[in-house]
Amino acid sequence: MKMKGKFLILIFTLVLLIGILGACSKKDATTSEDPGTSDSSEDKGVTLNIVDGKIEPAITLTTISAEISGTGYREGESLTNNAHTRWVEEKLGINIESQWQASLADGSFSEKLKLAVAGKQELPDFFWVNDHQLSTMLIESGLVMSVDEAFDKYASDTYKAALAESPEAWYQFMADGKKFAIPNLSENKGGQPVLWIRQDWLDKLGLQAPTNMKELEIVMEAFASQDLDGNGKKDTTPLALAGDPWYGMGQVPPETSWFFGRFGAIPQIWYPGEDGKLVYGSVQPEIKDALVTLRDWKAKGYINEIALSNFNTVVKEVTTGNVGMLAGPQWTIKYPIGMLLQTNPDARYMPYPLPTGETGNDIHVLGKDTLGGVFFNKDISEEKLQAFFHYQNTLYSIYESEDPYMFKDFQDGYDYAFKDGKPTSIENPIQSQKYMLTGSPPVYNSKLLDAMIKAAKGEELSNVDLAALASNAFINVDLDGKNPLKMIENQATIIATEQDSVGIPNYFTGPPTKTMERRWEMLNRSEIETYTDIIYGKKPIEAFDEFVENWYSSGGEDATKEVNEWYDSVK
Amino acid sequence: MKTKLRSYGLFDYFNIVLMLFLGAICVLPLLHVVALSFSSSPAVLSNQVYFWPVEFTTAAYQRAFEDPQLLKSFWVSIKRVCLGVSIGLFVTCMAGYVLSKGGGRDGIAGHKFFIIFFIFALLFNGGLIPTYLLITNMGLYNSIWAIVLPGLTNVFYIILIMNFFSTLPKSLEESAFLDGANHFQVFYKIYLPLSVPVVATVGLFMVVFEWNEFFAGQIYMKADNVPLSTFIKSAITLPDFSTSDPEELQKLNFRSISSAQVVFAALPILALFPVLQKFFTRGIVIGGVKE
Repeated sequence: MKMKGKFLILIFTLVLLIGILGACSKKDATTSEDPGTSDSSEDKGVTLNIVDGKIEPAITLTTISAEISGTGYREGESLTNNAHTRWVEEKLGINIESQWQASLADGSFSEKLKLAVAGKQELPDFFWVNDHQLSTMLIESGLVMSVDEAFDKYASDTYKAALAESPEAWYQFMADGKKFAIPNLSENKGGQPVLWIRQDWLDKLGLQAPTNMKELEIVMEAFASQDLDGNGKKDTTPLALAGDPWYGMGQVPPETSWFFGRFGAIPQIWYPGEDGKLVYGSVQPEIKDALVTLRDWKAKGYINEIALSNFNTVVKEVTTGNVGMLAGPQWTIKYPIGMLLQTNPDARYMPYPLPTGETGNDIHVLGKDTLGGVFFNKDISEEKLQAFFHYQNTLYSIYESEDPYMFKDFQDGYDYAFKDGKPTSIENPIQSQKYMLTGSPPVYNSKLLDAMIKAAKGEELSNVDLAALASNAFINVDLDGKNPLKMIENQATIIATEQDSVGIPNYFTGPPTKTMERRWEMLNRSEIETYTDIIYGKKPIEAFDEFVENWYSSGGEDATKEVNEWYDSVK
Repeated sequence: MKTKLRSYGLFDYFNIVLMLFLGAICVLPLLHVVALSFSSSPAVLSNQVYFWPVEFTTAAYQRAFEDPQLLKSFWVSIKRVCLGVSIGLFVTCMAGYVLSKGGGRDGIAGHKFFIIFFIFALLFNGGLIPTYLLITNMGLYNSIWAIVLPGLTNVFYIILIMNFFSTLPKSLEESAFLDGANHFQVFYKIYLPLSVPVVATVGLFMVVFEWNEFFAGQIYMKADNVPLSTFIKSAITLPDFSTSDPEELQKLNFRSISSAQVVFAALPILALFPVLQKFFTRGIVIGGVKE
């Protein structure tokens, strides 16, 4: 009897619980539908009424904002309310509503976006994503619009021309022959590596900067044997290279791909071989000679602990003043070398062209040509789409503008200070391009590079050049050439663009193929282990042939086939 | 009180050395961070700083406080701890009280069911996506309740309190009932005052949890409304090396600043610990101890 009573109560509670849950979910359904209905009831105009560059009446676009680390603000400003968003509102007549913001660096942005997509939540009108995995997920979700038609219809000629320079930038956003996002171009041509050498060490030894691999060895020998930092210990690193997380690491100092490139192949990336099909650099026969040389150099103490070295460790070494040479883009002088100068003002690094190899086919990795891409909600209205393109077209219009300072409304006081009709550099510039709604400023690589080289050479800049520099707010850089570090950086830019070495991007930018998903981690590991074992003399050089054979038989061959299928589908 | 005098044996020396060693392992990282926070940026970057500041400067603290978000987040964390711990303790103690009554005549119907229900919740949860949907669809997004409510109580704490309550003599409560008290009065006037050690201990657990937990803030809050722990988490996360943005990479420079932020965030907990720590030994009784 008692048992029965309890049991009844139990059932009663269960029923009650289920009832409450049911009530909740019903309520949810109605509330979540509310914004949807009000949205669709808006009347759909097909063309926007634009008066003096301003949309009338103002239109509202929703987005989500990824915060780029190191973004600076003035007091009272934030990612969603700053000089740029106010400019967008006042000059263009576009109100931006940010559904949420999250930091990019710690992964919370992608975490949130993944949750929103998995939870089938309403996506904003447009948003930018700089994460390969996320892009693939978005394309597969079917929640984003294909942009082919819209881009053809609404993008301005300048915008189109800028993107036409890098057709491969679209590849990573393509599926079934359609494009699903507009790539944000990144200016990377000026970021090609040069060889940074401790000039004070060279001078002390009375040596010339090396122009080929033979001379490089002579300099390394001298750097290794003479106690140049004068601490009585043999702890200098004549040449800094990095093998962590992979050999042939590009762009970030110490750039290592150039070393392998002297022998004719670059590890870890895919690029067209002789027959035009993509090949995987790590398994090319040329690597063998490179590894033998590295083993030799390691034994002689010419290089650092390559297998354990990454950007982080090399920054420390450079700041302690141990590194004789390292390759890196023109900004290496600002960081990490700039840090060394704070403690040791006498240390002097100068840029030189990368030494030439013997094959005459000198290559290195070129960094990514995109900073992610802009996606659109598949249900975005024609009107809002036009508003977005109005924004982008206006930004790109600076490249054809007679007034290089047409953006001074949001750049003045942030990137530079405008005085007497001229921009002057300011102490701690706030990079207003980090406020951009697409995460990056308008990039037109050829025009930008032209202007940068002219500026670096100190030539007279035309309005067109100034406009290109202003578009990316490079105007904040000391144009009068009084800043010595800036002078060295300019020199590096010139050297980088004039050296014979050829930059090769990673041509494979698609999602991981089927075989890659299953085998890639294993293949990568065996690659890095083999390289390390050979360089450290634990295995003979023949281990490389064995690795290549294994690589092909345990998935590499299939992966190559799949990568080429992808390449054929996008190019 | 009798003190027993005896000479130290080999075991004691060994014990002291071991404890000093373990203590050092716990304290040194903290000292290192404090030293980093008071050192100059180049010194930090060239790895010269160990446990004593090099080129002493408070610049890192000035820079850390220049970011208004630090204090804003601090305030969010304070709100979260106050709300989360006060409501959480109340709910947890009530649940512990009811469950400590057991089944039977004086207890609650379905006692076993509820125990199993709670144990089940201890072992399994809904997963990230359903939880996220629940929170956002309930309209809690970007509200302080989104980070307070889901972690309000923890079954483990309920069990701790339940076990402590059931060790209290039954006769106390019976005499109170005879004098006309109701359950709430018994709970409030007899059980709670007698259970200060366990309540304080659980309270400390909760404070530490609410203070340190960063994931909820990362997911449910807008960037300018995150608690301190989330803010610090994103401040100390190293940038992605694949970017070629020197500004981004320069963030590595900021190690002294993030150390200052970490020290600032650790202070409240460090201050609270010695105050509540004395309850620890008496407070935690998981089970099996009789009067």
